[in-house]
Amino acid sequence: MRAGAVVPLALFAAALLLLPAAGPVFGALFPEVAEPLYRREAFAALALNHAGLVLFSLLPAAAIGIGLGIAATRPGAAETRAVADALVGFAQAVPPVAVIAIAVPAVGFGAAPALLALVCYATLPVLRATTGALATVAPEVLDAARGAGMTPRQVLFQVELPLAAPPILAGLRVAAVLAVATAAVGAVAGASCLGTPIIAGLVNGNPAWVVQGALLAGLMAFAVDGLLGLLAPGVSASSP
Amino acid sequence: MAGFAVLAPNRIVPPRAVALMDADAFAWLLPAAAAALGAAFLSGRAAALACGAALAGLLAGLGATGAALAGGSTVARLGPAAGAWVAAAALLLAARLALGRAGAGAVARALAAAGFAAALAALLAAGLLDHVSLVREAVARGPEVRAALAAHLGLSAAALLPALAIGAALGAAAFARPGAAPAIIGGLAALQVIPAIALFALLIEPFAALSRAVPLLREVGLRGIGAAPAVFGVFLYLLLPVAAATRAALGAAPAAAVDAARGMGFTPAQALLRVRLPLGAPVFLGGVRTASVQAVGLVTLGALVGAGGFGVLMFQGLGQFAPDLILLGALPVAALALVLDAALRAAEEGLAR
Repeated sequence: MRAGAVVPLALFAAALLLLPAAGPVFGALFPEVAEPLYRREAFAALALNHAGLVLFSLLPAAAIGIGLGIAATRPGAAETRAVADALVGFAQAVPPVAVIAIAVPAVGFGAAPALLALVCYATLPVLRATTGALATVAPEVLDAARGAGMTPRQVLFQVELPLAAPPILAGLRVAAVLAVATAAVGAVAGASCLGTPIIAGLVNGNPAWVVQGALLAGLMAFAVDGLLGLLAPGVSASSP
Repeated sequence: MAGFAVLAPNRIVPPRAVALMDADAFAWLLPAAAAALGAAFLSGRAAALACGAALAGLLAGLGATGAALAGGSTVARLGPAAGAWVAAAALLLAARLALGRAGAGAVARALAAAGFAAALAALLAAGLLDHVSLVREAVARGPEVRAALAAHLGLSAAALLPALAIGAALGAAAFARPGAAPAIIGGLAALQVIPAIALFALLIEPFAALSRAVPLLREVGLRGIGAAPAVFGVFLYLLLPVAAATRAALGAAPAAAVDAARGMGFTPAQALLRVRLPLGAPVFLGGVRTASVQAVGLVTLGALVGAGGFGVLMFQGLGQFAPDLILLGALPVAALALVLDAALRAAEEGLAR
């Protein structure tokens, strides 16, 4: 289980360290390209920006997703649950790239449209996991807790959430992997991230830059998946 | 953009905001909204109908206001802004909730959506929406939009159909050999971790090399930049939902039903055909639905590596900072995905009966 986290992380770190010195390698692989190494920004800076986008969208997404999930599963909150289900249904039909594109006229170019789409899409798996996990806590357990004199707040924090924690953490893992991918797409709206060399390479006809950005973005996704796998072992990031 | 709507003299000049009260044609929206609210207390179905009517009224109001404000100009356009978007989203959500409260199943919801689409088509055909910015843009780019629709559907199908065949085979293999299941499903799941934009980008070079090495493939149009990396990349992503659904579908029949079939003297092939497949069909269709919706969304991103489809319009719009063009690329993708989702859900419900 440990190796599942350490190996991708080590590969990502190695790629980040070695890529700046890999100019000659890419020069040999892509002899037709005049500038084989992406130098407009340091890869480390792009990776840091990418990680920042993921982190700063994942935190609000986790708060909204878990909060809304708890609200939707309280007794008598059938309407809230229906609203949450309908929102998730609509949002899943729209691809993240469309949300980023639609957000540009409203919030301008840069990190803002990416952050907006990231928060929306990272919330969905957390919300789905939270409602699902809380709904499956056995009613006998809740009855027993209430019978023991626990207040609704105590039942939630001492019984329901601990029992529902593993699926919720798995939902967070899905959200994190999705956030890494969505952040990379944010480059089309001008966000500075590991998608930037991919877009710059596609626009300028430089396949070497495309490979460099794609390699780092892919390895970062595996590293994040592996790291969060430590929190939620045994559940794959993409199990439906 | 603030305001209820925005008016632009043409597609280049930045638009100015139009407030709800500035536009006479919107005035009758208020009674419609009140009627929708009132109906919400009556019954789910009536409320859904009222919400749908109010939404159609909102669009017709946009068109009528645009016509009034354009003052005879054939290029002036009225676009929805924050106010109209929020109103439309709220009405859509309210309609969906009302249908849910009325106990409408997937078939009823699909019929309701089809009815709304028909009303929208009637408004369009009557020319009531001619001054809405999105319709202006769509009419001006008619051939491009039709080409984008054909390419989008073609690319989605080109990825989906092989994914259905190979995904089903992989899922069946995982069901038949439980020992191999973790390797098969786990391998496909690992593919999902790769960001789509990175996978498409990484596939460009292998396809370019393949095209250089095999002249025959080059002649049929296979190149590094183009449809090939996008279709193959989407195909790879669709394998997991199809394989996982196939495996679940084959195991969906209760053990008692399979035992009973065996007891009646069914051969394993007969048990598969007459018990496992019919009982698992809705589960499999659920996987087909997930894969179809994903295909339509992922193909959009394929425009970045040179595949066609609505993504081309969307990225052109981003490049020109033309909001109408961005919407012209993005809204049809969302509509296609919602239509596929609704239709396949209805089919699932029909099969499960």
